Amino acid sequence: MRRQYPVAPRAFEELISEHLDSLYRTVLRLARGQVADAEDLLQDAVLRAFEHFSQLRDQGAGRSWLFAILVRTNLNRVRAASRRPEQLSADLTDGAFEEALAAWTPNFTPGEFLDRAESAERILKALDDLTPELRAAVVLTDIEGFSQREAAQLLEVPEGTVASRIFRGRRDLRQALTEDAPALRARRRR
Amino acid sequence: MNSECGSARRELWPDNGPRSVTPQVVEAQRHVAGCASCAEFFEEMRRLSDDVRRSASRTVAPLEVRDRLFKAISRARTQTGTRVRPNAALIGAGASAAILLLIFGIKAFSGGNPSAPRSLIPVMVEEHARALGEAGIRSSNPSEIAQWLNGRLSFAMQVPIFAEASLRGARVVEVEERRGALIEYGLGKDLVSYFVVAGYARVRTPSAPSLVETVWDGYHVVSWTEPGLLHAFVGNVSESKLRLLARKCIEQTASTMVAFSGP
Repeated sequence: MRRQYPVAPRAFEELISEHLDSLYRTVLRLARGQVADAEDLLQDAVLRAFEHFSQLRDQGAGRSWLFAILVRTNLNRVRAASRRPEQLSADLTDGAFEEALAAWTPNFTPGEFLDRAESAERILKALDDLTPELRAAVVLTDIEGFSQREAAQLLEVPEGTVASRIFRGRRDLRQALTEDAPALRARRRR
Repeated sequence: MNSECGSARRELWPDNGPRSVTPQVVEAQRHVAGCASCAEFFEEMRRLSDDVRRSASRTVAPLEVRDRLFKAISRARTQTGTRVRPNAALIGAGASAAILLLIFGIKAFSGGNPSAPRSLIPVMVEEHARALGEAGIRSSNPSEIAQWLNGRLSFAMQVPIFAEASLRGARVVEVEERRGALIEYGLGKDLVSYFVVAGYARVRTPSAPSLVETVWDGYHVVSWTEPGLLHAFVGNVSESKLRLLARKCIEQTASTMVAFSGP
């Protein structure tokens, strides 16, 4: 008697193997660089994906499908762990968002003043300090290359909300990175 | 900066997403082209985005994370396979048949070689269920694969070739703390793994290897031994296909693989 599988043997493992690095990269940022939390989140999400793998009709959409499960799993965790110190920030209205865009004054980016390794370390630290919803929007678009529309679908929020979160995420990143701007500029002049 | 800056930036934000070309978008683009502040705004946003992407791009999943994850999937696969059977009668019959087949299969397998552990088959099935990954070689060239394997094994390895199966690659596996080779073949839409593991059947083997068939977790396993080596084909294809590959393999590799040393 042959046992029947709900999941094609190996197909799931191949899908995970193909996207494991980007999934890991994402969970590490969603978990604010905490490796143990990131690995727990990754395993939860992957096992959930395994359970529902038969629902994936289009193998070409595997990456988005995996990320949707990952983001959903993370959201559930953040909601469940309300005792965590992380604070969710309110989204901007359209008018407030436009005002914030207009108020942006050019400054500098950290890459201009720091060497690559130092810059990477500071940026990741600043990224980890963003609120969860801003961090997720920046990670999905800037790091993983999802479009605003795709990120909105993954995060289950309107596109305009994602647009404002990306902007606010980058603004907060710049704010964090420019706190010691005078020292960085002085170093560059030397 | 003037009052149009906010609406123009809003219209064209974010900078990386596809957008429809509407009259508003065209107007916003015209504004940005003539507004140094807005042009600088989008340039700075692009640089920030690049910095963030560069900072995170070097992160890759460590091998131990990969390993733990695939073991968790393997455990879940077994549990899921048990849960989805169609009805109670078939569940009972199926389970009994599988257990009997497993017992007799392993018994037959270990009859000529008492040292072969009973946990061997599940380990090979689990290894088969994992993708080649970074720890292996992806190639359809048998000489290249043999050369790669021979630098990593304690026995000389020949890579069999089959008209009906395409060579995909290989990796080194650890089975019961014994090092061996897993060679992967594509058989139509299915994958088949060919294992050669050192350290088994060191005494008294028949002159003509006899094939032993087993089923584990829905995968078929056809195995045989020769002095010092265990061979097995594992896959989710019929026993007859695996048996055919095994026979061809025995013909091709007869007396060419020699174990250098025991475990």
